Amino acid sequence: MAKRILIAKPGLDGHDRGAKIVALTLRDAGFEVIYTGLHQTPQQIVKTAIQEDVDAIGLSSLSGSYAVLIPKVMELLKNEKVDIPVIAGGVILQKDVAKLREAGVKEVFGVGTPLSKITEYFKRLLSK
Amino acid sequence: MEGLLQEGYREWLKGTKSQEQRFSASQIPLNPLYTPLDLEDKGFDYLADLGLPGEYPYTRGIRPLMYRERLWTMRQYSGHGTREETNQIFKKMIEMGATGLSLAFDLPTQLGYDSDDSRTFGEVGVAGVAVDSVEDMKVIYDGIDLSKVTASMTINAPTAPVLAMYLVAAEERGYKWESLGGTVQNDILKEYLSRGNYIYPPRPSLRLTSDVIEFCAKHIPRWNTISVCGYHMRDAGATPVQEIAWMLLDAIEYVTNTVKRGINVDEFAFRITWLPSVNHIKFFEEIAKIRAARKIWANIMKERFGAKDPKSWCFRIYTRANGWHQTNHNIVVNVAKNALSSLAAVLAGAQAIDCCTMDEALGIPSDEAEKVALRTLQVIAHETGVTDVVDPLGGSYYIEWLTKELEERILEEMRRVESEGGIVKAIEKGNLQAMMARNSHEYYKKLDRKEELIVGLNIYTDEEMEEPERNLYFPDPMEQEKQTKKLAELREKRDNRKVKTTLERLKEATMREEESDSNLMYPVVEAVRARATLQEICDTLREVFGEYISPPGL
Repeated sequence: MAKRILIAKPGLDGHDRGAKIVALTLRDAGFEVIYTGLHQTPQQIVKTAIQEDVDAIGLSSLSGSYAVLIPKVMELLKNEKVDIPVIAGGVILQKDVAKLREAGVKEVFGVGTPLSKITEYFKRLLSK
Repeated sequence: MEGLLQEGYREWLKGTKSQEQRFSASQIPLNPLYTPLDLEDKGFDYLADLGLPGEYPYTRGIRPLMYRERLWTMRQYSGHGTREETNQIFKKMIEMGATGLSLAFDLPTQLGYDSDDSRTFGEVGVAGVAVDSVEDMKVIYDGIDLSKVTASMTINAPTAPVLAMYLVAAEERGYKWESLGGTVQNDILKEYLSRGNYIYPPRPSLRLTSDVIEFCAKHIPRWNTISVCGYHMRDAGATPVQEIAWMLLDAIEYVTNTVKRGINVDEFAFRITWLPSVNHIKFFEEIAKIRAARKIWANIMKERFGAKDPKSWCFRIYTRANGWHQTNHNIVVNVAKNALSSLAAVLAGAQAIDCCTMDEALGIPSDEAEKVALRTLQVIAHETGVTDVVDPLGGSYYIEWLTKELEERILEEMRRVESEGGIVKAIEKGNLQAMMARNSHEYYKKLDRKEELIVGLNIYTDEEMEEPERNLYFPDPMEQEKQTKKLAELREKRDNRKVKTTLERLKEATMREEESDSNLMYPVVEAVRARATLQEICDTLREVFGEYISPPGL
């Protein structure tokens, strides 16, 4: 069965070009992709992830609010005691990458990451 | 001569057969050369297709002498932080000679939430300034002579309450509305298509759009009531043809709805402005698309809407380049890209140009980057000589052929959408959103295969260079706390009974059918005067109109 990936847009940011490109890319690569649409609260994202029983979560943000919203998603996942790998993408400053990793984010893909690199990463991650 | 040319050109073309086929950004196949024969094939007619600048159909520009008469406005979009900081920035800009103040709002404001709503977590004061009530507006413009500046606001879904807050703030300082000038973006349809800051479903949102247009035409004659955007759609993946076709369809929808109320088109059409993108990528296509758009819009206004005032026919543009081709490592490279895109905007005949800053891929621009961008525009204005002659590319076989070709394709795309039920139906189905997503996906696959090249992204990436150190404006948790406290004080101090009454009146008006005597701007202004907050007003409208959930558009 195809592995399921949730692509989500936390917060009020309306830029979803990147999220959609990644969603289409992963779909092409054979994954089942669920896209949340815009304006998702961390609570909604975690709820959808659990309901849809996804194997990975991709969070896309192009607004400065990722610095608080992504750690919030991680915290809620921990509270729910679910262990779903979370990958972040978008405009994320290098100095924040360590902070996000510390919060439990598995990988960070900045803007301009080749699509092939993202596909390979998810294939490796979800083949285990 | 003609025969010789024909023969010679065909021979010459044969000799280039081994060349790979190249395409424009709208996937138009391009020849390696254009000649008078190509214009003849297109039925090119100088008077009908171009005419003179400042005259119908305005292909060559909306003013007779263009930049000899007046340079383009050099506008920079920036601003963030608290109300007090914004006020300080505005005062500094006025000291430096600025007459237009551009206000960016944070996302909660753009989505009609107060700073104390739980959904605004981490977003208050981030992408711009938070405006919860008229009190915030008063602080932002404190000490500024509102009859001498124009206030430009990037606001869409909550345009009605935000504009009302500006008007009430001004009237409480003694200004007559007629003396105020400014712009609201007020372009809701592109929010569904690409920018994402919508609240209500499209139909009731369109009612609010026309309410603002009608209200301004009656009471604030100097106000630009709408800035129709193609920019965000291009950023989301629309081709130049789709960008122009869809933005024109959006505008047709606004004009149609407003005219339906019995308002003469010439009373408001001249207050429509445009925000298309102009990029350095496929340079000539960007210039040609603007020339084609000017011509098509002039024709729509004159023939379709029967506008008589030539001012109503003019496609006035403010433009900037998109962000997707900016690099984030060796950011100085962006100076070159942005200089070229600004040059394209000048060659296209823009009225106002905002040169992107070299660091905008990283966040809100630094002062240094702002300065370089402004200087770039000044170099183009004062050194290159492109301002000496109007529409200097006019008459180029390639530019004229491409302008005609784009015009045909834009009109064809407009007909396609209209024949399938129109732009609102397309938005509700998510078809156009999906087209943009697929375009972007295809484009990125080409970047991966290096069939498209972006310096700094997939060639000459300078990866060894560290991302520049930046002081990005970060969400200050204190800002949310401060705004929350101020809101609590406001709710304590104001006459809550009066707020309730005005909101009830707004609700009643909202439930009435859309007619010219149920313009919602009036009850919104009353509620703002009583110190109702942004969210209280937007929630009242949400109760009646509902909240929109967009199709995923994949």
